[in-house]
Amino acid sequence: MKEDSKAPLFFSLIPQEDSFVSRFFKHMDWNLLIDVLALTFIGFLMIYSASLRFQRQEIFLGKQLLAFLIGFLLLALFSILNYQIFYQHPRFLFLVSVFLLLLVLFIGKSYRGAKSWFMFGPFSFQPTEISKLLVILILASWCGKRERDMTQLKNIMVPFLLIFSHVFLILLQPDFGSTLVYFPILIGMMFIAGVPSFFLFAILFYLGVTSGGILLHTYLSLSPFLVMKNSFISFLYRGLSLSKEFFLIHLGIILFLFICWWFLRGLKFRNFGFYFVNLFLLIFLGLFSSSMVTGLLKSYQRKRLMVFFSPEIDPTGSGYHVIQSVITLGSGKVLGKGLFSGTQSRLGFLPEQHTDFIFSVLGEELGFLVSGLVILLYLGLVWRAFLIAESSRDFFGALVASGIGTMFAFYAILNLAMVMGLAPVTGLPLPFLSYGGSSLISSLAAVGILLSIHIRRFTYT
Amino acid sequence: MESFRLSEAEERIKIVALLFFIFFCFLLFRLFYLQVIRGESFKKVAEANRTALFFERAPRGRIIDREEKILADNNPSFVVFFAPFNLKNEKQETFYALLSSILKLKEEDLKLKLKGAFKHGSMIRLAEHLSKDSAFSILEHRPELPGVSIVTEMQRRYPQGRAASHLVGYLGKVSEVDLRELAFEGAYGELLIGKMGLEKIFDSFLRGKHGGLRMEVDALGRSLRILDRKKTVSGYEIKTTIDLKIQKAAEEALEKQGKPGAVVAISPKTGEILAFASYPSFDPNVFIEGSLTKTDHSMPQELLERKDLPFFNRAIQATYPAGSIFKIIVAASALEARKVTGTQNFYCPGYYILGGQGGKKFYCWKKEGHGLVNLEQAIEQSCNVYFYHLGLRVGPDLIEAMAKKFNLGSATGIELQGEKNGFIPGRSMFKGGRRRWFDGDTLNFSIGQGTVLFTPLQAAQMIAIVANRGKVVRPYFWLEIKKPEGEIVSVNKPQLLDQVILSDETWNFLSHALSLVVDQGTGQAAKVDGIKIAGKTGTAQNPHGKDHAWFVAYAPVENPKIALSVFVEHGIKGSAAAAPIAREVLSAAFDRELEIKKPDSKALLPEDFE
Repeated sequence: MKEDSKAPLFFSLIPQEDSFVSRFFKHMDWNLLIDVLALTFIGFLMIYSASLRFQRQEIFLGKQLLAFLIGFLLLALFSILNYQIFYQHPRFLFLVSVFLLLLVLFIGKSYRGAKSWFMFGPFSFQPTEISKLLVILILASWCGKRERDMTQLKNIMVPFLLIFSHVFLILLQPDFGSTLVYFPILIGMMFIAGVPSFFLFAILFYLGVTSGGILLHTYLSLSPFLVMKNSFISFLYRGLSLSKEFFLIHLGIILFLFICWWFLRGLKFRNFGFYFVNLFLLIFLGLFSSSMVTGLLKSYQRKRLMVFFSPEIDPTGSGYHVIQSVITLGSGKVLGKGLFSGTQSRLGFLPEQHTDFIFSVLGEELGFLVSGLVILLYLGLVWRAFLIAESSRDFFGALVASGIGTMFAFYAILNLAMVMGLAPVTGLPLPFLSYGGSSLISSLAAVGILLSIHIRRFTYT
Repeated sequence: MESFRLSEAEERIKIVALLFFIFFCFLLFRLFYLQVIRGESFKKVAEANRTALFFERAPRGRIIDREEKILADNNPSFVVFFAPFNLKNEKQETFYALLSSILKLKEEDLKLKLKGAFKHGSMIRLAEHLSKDSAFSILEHRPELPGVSIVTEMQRRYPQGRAASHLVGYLGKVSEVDLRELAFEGAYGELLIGKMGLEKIFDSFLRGKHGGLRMEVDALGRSLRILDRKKTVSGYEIKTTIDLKIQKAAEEALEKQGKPGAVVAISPKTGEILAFASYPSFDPNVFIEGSLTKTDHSMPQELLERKDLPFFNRAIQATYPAGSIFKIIVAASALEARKVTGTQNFYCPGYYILGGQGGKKFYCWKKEGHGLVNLEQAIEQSCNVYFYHLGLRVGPDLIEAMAKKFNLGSATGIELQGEKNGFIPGRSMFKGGRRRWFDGDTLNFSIGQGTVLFTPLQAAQMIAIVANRGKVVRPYFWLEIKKPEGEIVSVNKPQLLDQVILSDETWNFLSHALSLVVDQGTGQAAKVDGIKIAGKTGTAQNPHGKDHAWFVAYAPVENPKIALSVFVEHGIKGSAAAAPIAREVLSAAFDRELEIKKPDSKALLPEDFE
């Protein structure tokens, strides 16, 4: 047993040399675990500090500690549990996920206009936090079973339908922010699963049209003179939201597609026609979904988007958040103002200081030395996730690990970019640091799955 | 199961991981930019976010006269603050009743004011200029009045009212332009700066250092606590050369005769200005809000719009025809040029005809004529005809040169703003012009009429030079600048500018002739018992109205301690309007011995000075 000699001394004290327990500790990814625990600990400090302003810091910290306990139990459970169990029953997972998302629409509680919370007495959690993990597992299972067949269209369509069913259900709540994470997960996992670049570009094109439509609509709503003067732009503007013009545009596109298809069939330009028709199909789908999303956006969300275009339109409202966040971060300088003595957060200049903008509090109080370290910890977390994906013993594990890695990377990058004034305010939390039980529990559970894949990276059974 | 390990999948995982790596590096760089490179500027913004300054005025330095009598000092004024730190909206009726009875405010008004304070959670000024009694009763009831505090703020006071107001100046709210020039910190609107006179010239010394309370405020603008308190540092004290007794005598005398005018009194040996009066004057207290010492209840605006221009400093800003006081210069130049001796006689029939029979007639002030007069009598009686003869003999060039030696026609260089140069005509002024200098101009010139223009200060300096036997000293009005603790920052020394060199006979003659003017001549109204005074009256012809009255004098003749000029606009006759004012000033000056109590000032004099 060569591996034994590498193990720390105290593991050799464990008598059964090849038992599960000894293997568990020997192959444990301590780097990842310490990384995550460090982030969580910094999170506790920051939540305590950020909630000093509410003078209920013990309650906030207590809730977060409780969530951590539950999350850590889940982490232990999932790391002990063989992850391959999820490989077997993707249908069951799908049913659970859809059931939760449907249930919340009926018995969920509303917060900020979105019916997205389950309440159990003093406890509450968001089903999307569970379903995003389930979606990663389902996707990995589907693609893992079709390892060499991911070039086939029917195999590609199922993941799409899976994502759309989830996004659709979440938009019914409606919680626009929570749907965002599904797209990078989908694209990342499909890319690693070996889906041809053509499809991925198609997806990206579709997403581009969708978000472009939303952004164009927002932009046009900011320039009323342009819309009033030019009748085409005015037509386009109204066509981007659910309206009479919207149906006219879509009817036009469908008719055009039909004629093209019919015409090209006659000419037998099959290959070229395929791309051509698909391109328009994508534009159609993209515009359709962008109009849907535009119609569903809450006024505060629309305002956030506008503010991202031009923060000065509302320096005391939504734009104020971003401006103050950047001031808060920057004012910490290299060493920070000292733990619990951030002025921006304590005096209420920083909004949402315990949730979305907690990183600003960290930067203000502990300075670049610690905030830079935290970015490196996130980088380490993502790096470990992809290393685990690389060294996984099966394709399913590789896909799950890279899906989880993509999820963490997306959250961290989007939140950090937001607090640094580089992205619009989306209301996405920073995993492990932001106050919020559901997010912490599901993040720890995801780490548990990563550990489970890592521990079983060698071909034992 | 090794078979699944497609190198392709590994490659793709690496690509995705690398992509995220790049993103994180970019974010790390952005963080470095925000926190390290831009950190300092964001820190300043954050500091500005959280602090608010509650301004506290520094007590201005005092201004005192040479005897340390106070011209300007400060009066403690009580300001009531209300700070709702950690207080619930107090609804107790006793609180309002007590406070409103002490502050003599209506209860509704008080409630309204406090409501605002509670709503915004900010500190407010409840009342200003509180009386001592009210302030003490607030202190007594402190436990019943939570959040109410009293701060004493030093407020400018001019205890002498109008005295030397043109020299002392006044204070005003700082303007945008001033702020740009001065660029100091603080709550701008509440700053007061000197707008005139000493208050303006020495503003930076008098101002001191303003202080204040730095308070922490939250995002809603509520004051949470006091961070620190910057103490105020009072300004420097300025000792002027003014003798308040002489100053007041001059002002009272001017006021009594009721016409606009000016009196300047100088200590001839040192150049110290003992009195510097311009009438009408103003009370600088009117510019202080809620001042208890103000004597004049008119608004500053009314004062500014008055026709007789109370802010106009006639002692230096107005020039008037010199009239007969100029005869001193003409006589001096004639004696020096040896064109005349003391015994030279001319006959005065009451007029002088220029250019023989049928020429233009120039009159003496005395229609019936003075008869046969010598120079001494001509000065004593101020005979114009004698001086017409003299002027023609001497010629305008020598008179002009003598006048310029006496520093006439150019500013004295006093540190006050707006001093006029005056004017001495001469042949050169018509050079290249259409007109040339006629003998008629010489006649007008020799009796100081026409274009000869003096400021009252220049007239005083001229007579001081005579008193001083030729020594030209720079007139000045402050002695020293002192820190409040007593350390002297700056001392103003007497300065010998120039010397008019005339023969002893000339000086002796002038002092003798001028003392005769007061003894038995036109200046008898200035006579003070027991003091030998030398003087000269003057009446300046005024084409726009009644003639102006002049009187210049110094005393005692043997050892001059004071030299002065009196000017009265439209006073008609120097002997009747100006000389009596000089009498009042001189008797005030010699009421007690006018001892120049400045032992070190002598030490500072140049060696050849005495």
